[in-house]
Amino acid sequence: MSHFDPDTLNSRFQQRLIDAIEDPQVRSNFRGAMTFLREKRAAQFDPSDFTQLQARAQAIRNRCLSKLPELLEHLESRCQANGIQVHWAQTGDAANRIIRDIIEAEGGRKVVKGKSMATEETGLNAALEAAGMDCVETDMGEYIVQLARETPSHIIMPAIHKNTDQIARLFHEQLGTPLTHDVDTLIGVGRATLRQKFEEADIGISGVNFPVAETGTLCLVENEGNGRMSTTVPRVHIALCGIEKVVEYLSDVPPLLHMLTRSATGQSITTYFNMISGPRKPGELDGPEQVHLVLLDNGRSRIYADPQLRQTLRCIRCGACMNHCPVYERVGGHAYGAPYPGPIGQVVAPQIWGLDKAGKLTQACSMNGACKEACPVGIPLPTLIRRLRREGVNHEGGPPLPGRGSLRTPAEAALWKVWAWLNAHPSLYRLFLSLATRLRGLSPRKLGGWTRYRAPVKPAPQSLHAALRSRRRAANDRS
Amino acid sequence: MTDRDAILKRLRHFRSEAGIEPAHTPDTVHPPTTSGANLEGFIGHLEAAHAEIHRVSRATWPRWVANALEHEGWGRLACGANPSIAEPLAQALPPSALWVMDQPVEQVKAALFHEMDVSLSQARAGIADTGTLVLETGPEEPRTLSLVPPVHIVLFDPATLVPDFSHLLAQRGYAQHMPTNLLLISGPSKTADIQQTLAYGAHGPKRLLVLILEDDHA
Ligand code: SF4
Repeated sequence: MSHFDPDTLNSRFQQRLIDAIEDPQVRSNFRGAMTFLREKRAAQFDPSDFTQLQARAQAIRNRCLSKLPELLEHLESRCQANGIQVHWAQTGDAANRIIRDIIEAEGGRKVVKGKSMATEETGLNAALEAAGMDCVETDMGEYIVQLARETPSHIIMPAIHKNTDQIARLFHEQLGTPLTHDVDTLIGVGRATLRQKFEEADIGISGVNFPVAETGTLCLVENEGNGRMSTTVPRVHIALCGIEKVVEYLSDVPPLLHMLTRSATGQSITTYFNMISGPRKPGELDGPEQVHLVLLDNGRSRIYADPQLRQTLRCIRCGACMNHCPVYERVGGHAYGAPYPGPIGQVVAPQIWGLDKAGKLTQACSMNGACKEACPVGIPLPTLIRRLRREGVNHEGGPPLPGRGSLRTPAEAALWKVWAWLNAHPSLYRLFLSLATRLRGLSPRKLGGWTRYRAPVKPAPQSLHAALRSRRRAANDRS
Repeated sequence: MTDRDAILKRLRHFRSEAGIEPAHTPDTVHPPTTSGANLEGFIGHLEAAHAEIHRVSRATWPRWVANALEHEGWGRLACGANPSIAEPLAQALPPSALWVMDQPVEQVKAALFHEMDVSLSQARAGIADTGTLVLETGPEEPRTLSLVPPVHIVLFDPATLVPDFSHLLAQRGYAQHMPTNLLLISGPSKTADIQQTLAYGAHGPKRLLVLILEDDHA
């Protein structure tokens, strides 16, 4: 699948999981990659410092979110003063339209794109393709994924699901280069191909890591240089950025950058930190003539409504939560079918596309809490996942979440009602228990999805109460 | 209502409904992460990131560059129209080996992309705790120079070293005035996108040479 389709999130989730689990290559590729990334991150943090650094980053993000509308206005006016044109989009489609219109108005023909998860979220490539425009991904991982007509499987390392052998074959088949497993040669092929694209491109598209309200600056983090190419060489630069990302002060950037690169790839800093404060000025010899910033809402202002769920918006998109997730490690990024996989994706997708479309993603969580511990801005991901599970079956009062209660089934609801009632009536509960233990031989051998992969459940021969009673009796007899 | 107004209105509405006040923070300065600016640490980080470090005399660095061109077999070196760099280089290099970028990129794109073997820039500062070079781009330091040629040489004056990024922002007053493009560079371009195997020269320079300028001791 080369394009993300929100309508398949719930409906194909089960099948995607089965496909992933049945593919041993996926499992071994992810296991190796996740171990590597976790070890690199661990080497960067002293556990005793981490809590303090996390608290600092969390406080900055909380402060900025508490002032979000003011900071967005400030960002807009500072950017405009710098000559950056600012656009606002309530939905992904609106953002894609704005970008398409800019390209059309500029007579743009060749579009290069630096890595941007926001454009994956809006499905920009598909929208541009539909308008007859060709958009080349230039991050090596994204380029590999685009060549293979797939979607990224990780927010930081998009082609992490492929190993060298698979990439070698892909290049051989798609680019006609001699088959080689030498990584330097393969990267050299990508470099040469994409260099030409950079040289010819008239439009460059990128994401933004930190937009700074105080100075009207767009900060981009990267190692490869394709982000710099895309934002420097073409005549027009268009940046797409979620509204939640804005930071208040320039001095907020270092502590957040400190956490971002260490959490993401275990680097104390990336090769490039690119801070853009405007288009080419008079007298300057290069840089784009126009810089556009497209601010994307797409559900974020709705997420802002609920004080607990709002914590989602602190995310700085480092990927540490997926690197530490035992479920993600086993099923890989494509199993989620969403642009943001893993724990953060499980929290973001249902809030953007609705519980009716994406609520089932929250089921792929064991509540082990590793993601929360790794998160550089302390997002309580398991708590939010549990909350969304509840909202999925709860249709009374609450936050403006689309699809609330849509996952409720009458049978399940009735079952829980009976269970609650039983628990509130001790004598009936005990009667139920003694029946269940005595009639345990009659428990069903097939229980839908549960018994497809697991042994059937059978009540114990004795209830816990009874077991404790007999133990106490035995102890009394001995004394 | 425009998208802008609708978004802002929704944010304000939800915030007041949730009874949340915009936070007021008196401190805009975050505590520095380290105390001193240590040149050895700076060099160590850069070397770990695969940069090549050379300690070079402040008086004779252009000669060093001329020698490097000869040894490495680099035909042409590009630099910006910064007299304090371009003039000494013009004296040390044969005219055919020096290319000063003094026209808009549109007019010299082919030369920049295909004819330059190496480029040279001057760092404004260095950050010790991450091994980072700070470049302020402008008319005399075009953005593409530090990006397009396959080898990048940076002149670095150790007197400009600061302990960390927070110090840099404060010391150089960037909050009051940002250059069009402020760049932090911490090594040659690289990628680990093929099975976590590190490869240099993904899209930017394959090699980064840092010339640490030292005073001559007689
Ligand atoms: S939720 Fe936390 S760990 Fe996950 S990507 Fe966002 S910031 Fe990183």
